[in-house]
Amino acid sequence: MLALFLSEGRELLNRVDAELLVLERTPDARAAIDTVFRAMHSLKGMSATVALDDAALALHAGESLLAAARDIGQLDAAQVAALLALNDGLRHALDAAEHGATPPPSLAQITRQLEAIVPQSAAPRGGTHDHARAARDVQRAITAVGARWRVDVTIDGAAAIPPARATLVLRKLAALAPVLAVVPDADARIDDEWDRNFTVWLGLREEAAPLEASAIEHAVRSAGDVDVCHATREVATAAPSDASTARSVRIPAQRLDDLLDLVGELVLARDRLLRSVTPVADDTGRQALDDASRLILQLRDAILQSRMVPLAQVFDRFPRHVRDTAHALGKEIELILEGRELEVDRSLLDELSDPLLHLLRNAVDHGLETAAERRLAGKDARGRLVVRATRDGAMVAVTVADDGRGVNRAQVAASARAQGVVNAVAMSQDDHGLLQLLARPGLSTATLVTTLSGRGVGVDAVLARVHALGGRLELVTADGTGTAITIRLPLSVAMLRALLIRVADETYAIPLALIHGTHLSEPLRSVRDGCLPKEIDVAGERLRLVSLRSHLDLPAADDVSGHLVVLDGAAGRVALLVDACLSQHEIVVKPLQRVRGSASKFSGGTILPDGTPSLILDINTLP
Amino acid sequence: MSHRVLVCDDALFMRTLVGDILQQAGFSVCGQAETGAQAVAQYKALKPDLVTMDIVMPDMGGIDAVKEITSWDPNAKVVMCSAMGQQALVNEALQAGASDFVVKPFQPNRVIEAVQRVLG
Repeated sequence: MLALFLSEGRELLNRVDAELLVLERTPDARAAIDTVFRAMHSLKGMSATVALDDAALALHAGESLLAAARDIGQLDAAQVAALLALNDGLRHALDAAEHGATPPPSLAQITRQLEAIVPQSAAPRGGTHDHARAARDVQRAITAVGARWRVDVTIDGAAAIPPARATLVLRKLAALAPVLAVVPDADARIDDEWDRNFTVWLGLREEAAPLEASAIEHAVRSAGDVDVCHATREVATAAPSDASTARSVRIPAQRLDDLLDLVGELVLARDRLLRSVTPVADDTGRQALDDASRLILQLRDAILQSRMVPLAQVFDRFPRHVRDTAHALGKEIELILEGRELEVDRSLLDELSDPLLHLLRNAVDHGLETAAERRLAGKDARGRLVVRATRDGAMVAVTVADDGRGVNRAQVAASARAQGVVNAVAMSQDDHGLLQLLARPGLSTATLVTTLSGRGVGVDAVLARVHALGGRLELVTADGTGTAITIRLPLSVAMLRALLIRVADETYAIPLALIHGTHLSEPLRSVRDGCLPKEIDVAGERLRLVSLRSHLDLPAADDVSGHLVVLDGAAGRVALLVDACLSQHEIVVKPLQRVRGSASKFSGGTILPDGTPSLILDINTLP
Repeated sequence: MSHRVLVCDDALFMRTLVGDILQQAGFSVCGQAETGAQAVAQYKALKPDLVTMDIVMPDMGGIDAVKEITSWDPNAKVVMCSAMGQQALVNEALQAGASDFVVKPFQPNRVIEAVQRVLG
């Protein structure tokens, strides 16, 4: 789990570095500011999850600076330099976390520097935090690996000398099982600012009978003056003695990526070979070619299969995360995970975890009410949060659903109007429009800026990530009843089946998973491109008509004798007018180096069977 | 049979107050001590079920008394009586083997709760 955090974290830091360098040259690149902001926001949430508190604090300061910069529309050189220093500090912190070492003290200094240059209005909270102490706490939490129980205790508000009471609680716990770690430590607990909360990690007493949560909680309460006590079983860390792992091999993920890349090229080479050789091959040669061709496909499938990992690898971080967040907010939440066993491509797993954490945080922070609010609304005091994964054809759908208060349409509409969205009220009436409003950068419905879900950046970050992967986002919400957000992604993001289409002598690829069908456009023959109808009947369905030519700013054609591709875009089902549909192909997706300033209408690139490069259309950018 | 308690405090007023609180709750006060040394001697002589111990006393302080008592009887049950602002001393007493603590000014129910907790 730490490894996953580290690899993702470093990836985010690299992204931030690249964008900061862009900003150094062009201070007013808003898109770059947004990207840095989102990356830091993601990393902040991740850092808090793995208890890298001072990294999270430093990132919060960085975020505040960026939020202010976003309002002004630019970052000056000193600010970019400070953010680059933050990035370096975070890299060292990640390195330290990897080796189980104490995080470098430089982060605290960087945080203070950032706080010093943040414009007053956006000053962050928590400036008085003791960084050395946070570092010690992190250290303790990390050394508690292997703990069987985590016990969260809050000393009663009326208790005299809470630290001494905590000492008694610890004595009771030590009588049950070895105490591996306590956060905050004894020095921090005697501080006047201690909030009376502490967490204890218990190990295993070999000879004793297995512990039960109730026994632990009873022991804690017997120390007296305990307000809250939760004992939770720690998820067992992968034990090497497990029979199922005994016969497996660990290999670096990069090797799997390389293998997939190679086999993708091999499949393409096969296609080329089949086309050039078939007409002249004799029977023996043809037989051998067919065999080789079949084996190549089997090899491809075997490699794809070897990359499949259960969603549990990401899902299993959620209980801890939700509990911590809920605890911090004083909410009671029951988390239900469904579809943990569903297997997805490793690359997808990495990509899913961030957006899902965003959605979970939003649900816990904004969606679900406090117990008191829920009782007033006639609901069960304990909120329900469901994360459900299902397979839907070539897509995987992950839904985060809560039974909270629902999205406040009026409030979202008002914020969007304030940002200049003229038809915000009308848009907010249906779920689709509401999602589009929520996904606007900087739109915040939160009344509080919290360290958890921040400034409403979540949906915007999630949408950007999901779109980049060729997936889409769906929202269903009802006032007072709850909210469900579904992420749909192709099962594999590295390799997919695509329809090749032609427009203005260029070939583009559209992921097949998003396509409903293709039709010849009979009624359009005589219509000029410039005056296309807004809607069209396709197979009895009235659909919006989008011309790919005009979408890509290509010159209009004299003769509109094209094909229609019916697909589900971000704005609903549309009929896309193209010059011709060519064929279906297996393509290997190559990420695009983003060209600064150009609003990308493409989610990636690929090499076609004939060796020419082609771009993959990002369906979600269709109007 | 009511539990027997040894009350240790250098101030008569406090010994009386604590004694009253305990007796009203049905405990019997089997002895009193004004110094730490007396407390240790009385404990060995009376073998009470529980001791209430002031922290600051002349001669031998409460913390040293706790150490002596618990080393003589590891199962001894001692509730520390502390004034406000003696946080560090309370912690020290707990490390020394005290079972629980109450803070002055005494609220009768808090004292009884602590005593009952310790007696289980």
